[in-house]
Amino acid sequence: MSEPDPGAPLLEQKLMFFGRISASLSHELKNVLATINEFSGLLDDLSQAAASGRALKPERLQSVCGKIANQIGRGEELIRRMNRFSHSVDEPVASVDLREVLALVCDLCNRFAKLRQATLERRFPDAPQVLTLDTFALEYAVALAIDLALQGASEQRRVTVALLEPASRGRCQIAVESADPLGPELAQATEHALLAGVMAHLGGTLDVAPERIVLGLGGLDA
Amino acid sequence: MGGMRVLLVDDEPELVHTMAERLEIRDFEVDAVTSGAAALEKIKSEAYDVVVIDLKMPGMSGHAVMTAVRVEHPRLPIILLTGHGAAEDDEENADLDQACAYLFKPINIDELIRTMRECVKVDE
Repeated sequence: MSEPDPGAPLLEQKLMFFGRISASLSHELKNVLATINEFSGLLDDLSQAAASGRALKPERLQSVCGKIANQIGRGEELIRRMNRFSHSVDEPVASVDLREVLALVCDLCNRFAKLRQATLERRFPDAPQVLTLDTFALEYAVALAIDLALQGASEQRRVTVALLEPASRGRCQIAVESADPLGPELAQATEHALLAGVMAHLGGTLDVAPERIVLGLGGLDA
Repeated sequence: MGGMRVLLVDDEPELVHTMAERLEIRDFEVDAVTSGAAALEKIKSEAYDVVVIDLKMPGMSGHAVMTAVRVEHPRLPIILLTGHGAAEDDEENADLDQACAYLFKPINIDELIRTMRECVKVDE
C-alpha cells in the first residue's frame, strides 16, 4: 500500500483513506468467513465419523453451532460498520453527534491498534455534542491522529480517544491521548502534515503535545 | 493419512484451533498457537515437519516469524496463509519465495494437506 502524500489534493487523500479502511474491513470479514469455513468443515468431519459408527455427542454439535452464530454476529457488526462508514460520504457537510463519529472511527481503527499490540480506548461525555461539518474529513482526521499516536508505540501502549467537554463559546475539542509520551519526531511524520491539512480544511486547529494530540473544532450547533 | 508434525500459527483462535482439530481427525500431530512469539518458543523446543503461518498478525507478522525461523531452521518447510489475493502491504510482498507455498483463506483442508505433503516431499 503506498503512503499518502501531504501535497496531494484532499479528495485524493480521502479516497486513499476510504480504500485503507475498506481493505481492513474486508480482511477482517475474510477471517470471519475462514473461521466459519473451518466450523463447517468440522461439522462435516463429525458427521462422517458418526456415519461410520463413532459416537457423536449432541453438545459437541451445539458448541460448534454456537461458535458459528458468534462469528456470524461478528460479521454482521463488521458489515454494519462498513455501511455506516460508506454512508459518511453521502453529504459533503452534515449535522452529526461527535460521539457517534468518534465511536465509529475507534471501531474502524481497532485493528490497526491491535496489529501494533496497542489498545484503543474511548472517553465521551454523556450528552450529545452535535456539530455541522464534513463528517468524512473528521473521520480521516481522527484516524490520522490515532495513527500518529500509535507511531513508534511500545508494546501494550494505550491510546485514548476523548471528546472533551465544550470549552469557551461551546468550541469542541477531540484529544487523542497516549499513556506513553509521544516523541518529538512526530512533528516530522507524514501523518502530522496530512493532519494539519485536514484540520485546515475543517477550519479547526491542531496541537501536538508530548502526552496528547488535540483537534480543535468549531462551536456546537445551537 | 497423517503422520506429520505440524505447527499452525494464526491470531484467530477459533480458526487455528478448529483447523488443528480437523488435521488431528486426519491423524496429523498438531500444535496451534496464536502469536509469532509463541510459535518461535514452540519451534525452539519441538521438532516439526512443516509450519503453517498467517501473514497478518499483531506483533510479529508472519513474514517476521518466517525470517526468524529461517535463521535456525533454513530448510523447515513454511506455508504462508493470506486473506487476500493481492498482498495488503509491502511487507507481505517481501521475500515470499522464502516460503514453500502460500494459500488463500478460506483454506480447503484437502488442499492444505496436499500442499503440506508436497512441501515436505520437496524438503526431503
